[in-house]
Amino acid sequence: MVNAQNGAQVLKGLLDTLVLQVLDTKDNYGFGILQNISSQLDGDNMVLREATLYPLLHRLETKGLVESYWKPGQRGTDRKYYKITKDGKNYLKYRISDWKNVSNILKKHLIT
Amino acid sequence: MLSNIFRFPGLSCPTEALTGDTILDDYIKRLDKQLWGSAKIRIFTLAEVKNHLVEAKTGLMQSGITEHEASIKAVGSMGSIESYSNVQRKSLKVKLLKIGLQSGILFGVFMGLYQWIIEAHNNKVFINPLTDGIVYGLFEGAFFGFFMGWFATLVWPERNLPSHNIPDNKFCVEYSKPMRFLSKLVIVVFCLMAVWCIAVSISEYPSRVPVKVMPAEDKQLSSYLYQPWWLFIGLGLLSGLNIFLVRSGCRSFQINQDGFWINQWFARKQRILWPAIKSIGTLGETYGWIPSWNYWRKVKYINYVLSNGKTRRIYLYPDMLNADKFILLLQAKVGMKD
Repeated sequence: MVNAQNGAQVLKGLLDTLVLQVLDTKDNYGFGILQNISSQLDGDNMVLREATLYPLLHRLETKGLVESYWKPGQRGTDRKYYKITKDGKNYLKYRISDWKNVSNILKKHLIT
Repeated sequence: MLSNIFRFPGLSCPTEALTGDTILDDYIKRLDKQLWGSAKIRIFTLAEVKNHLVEAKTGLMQSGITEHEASIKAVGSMGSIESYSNVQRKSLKVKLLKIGLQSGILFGVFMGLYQWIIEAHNNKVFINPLTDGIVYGLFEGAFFGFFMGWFATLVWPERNLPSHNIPDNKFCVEYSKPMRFLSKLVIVVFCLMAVWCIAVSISEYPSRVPVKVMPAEDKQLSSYLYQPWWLFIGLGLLSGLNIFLVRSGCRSFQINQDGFWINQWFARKQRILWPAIKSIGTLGETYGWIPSWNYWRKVKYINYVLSNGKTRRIYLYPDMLNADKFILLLQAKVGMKD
């Protein structure tokens, strides 16, 4: 069935790259990452939901692509910050080049 | 009932995880019910969710909606509880199985051997010494493995939040004083058992020879090994070992994710070992990491026989550039001629 959600499905494949890209600029915490990505996607909250983000961060941390530390937040609660690792940066480079290839193929063959 | 075993101790939702807002707290409590581990373990997941809910609610309130609506919206945006709890339970399950299996095998082999040795020279045999040893080993290993897996994964780590006094603000876990004492006690008792086991196995072996013909010196050896001061020697040695391990940081742990702990020694090994490796030369100048076993396995060398008859070994590391290898070999050859 073709609907608007199919576009979101394609974008979900990009999420790890998007999250790593956000962390590559500076360390960030869950809510901050979500807001950052949401603003990048022009406020589209359907692509990255909270229930997707935290398991994704957990997975990235288990793979050693990000590491976490705690810092006191502005509102009295501790924030868990995520930081991209060296492996994460390498992985991000590969992913970006992969997506560039995909983008080139799309431009050449599908988008006229 | 069974799930409560995985949540012991601290069955109720930890108060640090609550926000004071009934709607947010209801969500946090429902999530807490689905999580595994003691309260100190569950807080790892709960603290992050709590922070997110508080931030989301504040953001929504700033956009102009009422507190009540903001709370409902913040909870609504979080999605299903299972998406958080499944991740946490899966990671703990993996760790539980890993620790359970490791400690179960260790203890099982130890107890199996002990039973085998003991039965090999007394009459209290169930089937035969070896079979009994295997049965005992499997049974006790399984029981101990499950216990250790549960204890080490779901109960043992103590939370240390906030951890602002720790370098780099790492999320660290420390053991409480009674836990630290218990850990030492367990290690000491186990090592004493090992010492005792070895002493018994050595001293009992001559007794397989009928007592009547047992030489006097064997009897003497037997009684010598049974002397209780063996235990004190063992205790002293193991205490020394324990102090060494504590001092070198091998006995403290750092946590990076829900209950995943990293041994301090491994966490710091790059800082400790790196300068040492750097001082060796070749590797240090070229690589910024600690080579794995697989790396060392692939290291090749060539022996050059020098004019004075001595051999010079040239190591070729697997990820060296061919040009580097060539230069190294050339230098070695030139050196050999000199």
